[in-house]
Amino acid sequence: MGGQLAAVIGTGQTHHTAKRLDVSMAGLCREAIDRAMADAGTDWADIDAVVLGKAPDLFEGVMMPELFLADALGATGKPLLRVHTAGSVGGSTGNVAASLVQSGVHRRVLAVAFEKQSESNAMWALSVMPPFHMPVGAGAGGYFAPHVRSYIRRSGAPNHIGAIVAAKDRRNGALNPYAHLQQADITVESVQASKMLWDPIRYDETCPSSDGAAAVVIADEQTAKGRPAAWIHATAMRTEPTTFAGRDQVSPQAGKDAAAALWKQAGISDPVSEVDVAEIYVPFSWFEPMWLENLGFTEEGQGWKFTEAGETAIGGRLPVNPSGGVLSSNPIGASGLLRYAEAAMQVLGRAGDHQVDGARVALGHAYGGGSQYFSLWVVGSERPGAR
Amino acid sequence: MNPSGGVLAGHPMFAAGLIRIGAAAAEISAGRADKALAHATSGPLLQQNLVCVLEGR
Repeated sequence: MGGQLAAVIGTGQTHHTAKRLDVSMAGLCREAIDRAMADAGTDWADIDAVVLGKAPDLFEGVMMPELFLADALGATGKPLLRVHTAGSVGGSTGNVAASLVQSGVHRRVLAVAFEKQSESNAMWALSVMPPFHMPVGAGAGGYFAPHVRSYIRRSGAPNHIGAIVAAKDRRNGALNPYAHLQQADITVESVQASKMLWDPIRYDETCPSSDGAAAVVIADEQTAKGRPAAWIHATAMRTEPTTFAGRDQVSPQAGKDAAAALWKQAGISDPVSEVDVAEIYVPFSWFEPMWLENLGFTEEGQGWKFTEAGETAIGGRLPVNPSGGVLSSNPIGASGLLRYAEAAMQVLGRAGDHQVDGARVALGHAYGGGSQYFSLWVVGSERPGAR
Repeated sequence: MNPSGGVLAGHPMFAAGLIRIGAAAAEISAGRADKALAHATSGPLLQQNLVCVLEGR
């Protein structure tokens, strides 16, 4: 972490849905930005720089959209940075914005991330053959299904764990007015009865395709003191190549290293006891137990038992994705920043019907590419070191 | 200006800005300059601009 303290003083997001035909990309971003600015009580004159994140340009078919979006993002006459780390980009956007404040370069930075999946076809965009690689040809689900199968084999987890996660996250999503999917009546049994898409991943265990945006205002200590703030206790990012001999794709080393660096920086020695709520990037249900292990919340092979025991539900030992998570809304580029914003909302006490009682320390997590980019932050209701 | 030959002499587009900074630093490292300016620009109407000043100490 840099030398200066930084805190989230406002968050905003759009109503996420399959097709936001009522707004352009610019309008979508502005909807989230206006809510974040109102939440923070800031005006444009207060913003020193803008950081924009989104996933591959093929997802909308518009190259370098940050150029035409500059005015709508309020970036005219200010520094504008585009960030791109595949699905983890929303998290990376938050980390880059935080670093601009922590380094003392800027005092108040607006971070924005979006995806308007209805403009193009992400399944196609993810199936374009890169040179010198085996073609997947089946989008993200086809790529990740073998990793899930491998996790099940290694951990000995029973087959219904994924359905428990899906039912829990979708029911949480029904508590979140911004969530794309509103499925209050979903059950473990109905998930198990849904169509098999990429064995062992069923239809109801798969994230939707969403249009949506998220924004956060990050401020320095002088701006944040004396007002509601989610203090940034730690940030971490780690990367590894898509393929190399001996790579563990179920629990990538980059994710373990990012988590270790994060907990150390945050002064957290026992994450499962010291973190009150976690927003973890779970686009396919089984990634909940997989990331619980990768992040160090449980021992290897034990994540599924934690999930099965109901500990990740609201009211459990570590509520995971009270917002409904990626399984309820997936505007890909925004999904990481949504995790970060929801973590901040929890410690600010502004999460509405999906608020976790007494949340003081929260994790935001995102991963991207072939499980090769990891972005994390820990936010708290108190300044770092005050716990 | 542009002792390296600049963008008119070589234009790997998205590396061209970083090359300007590297070329400016190289002038200082080589002892040919005490202070150097580097500029990068992007966009269909060159609407994004970055200017930095480097100095040998």
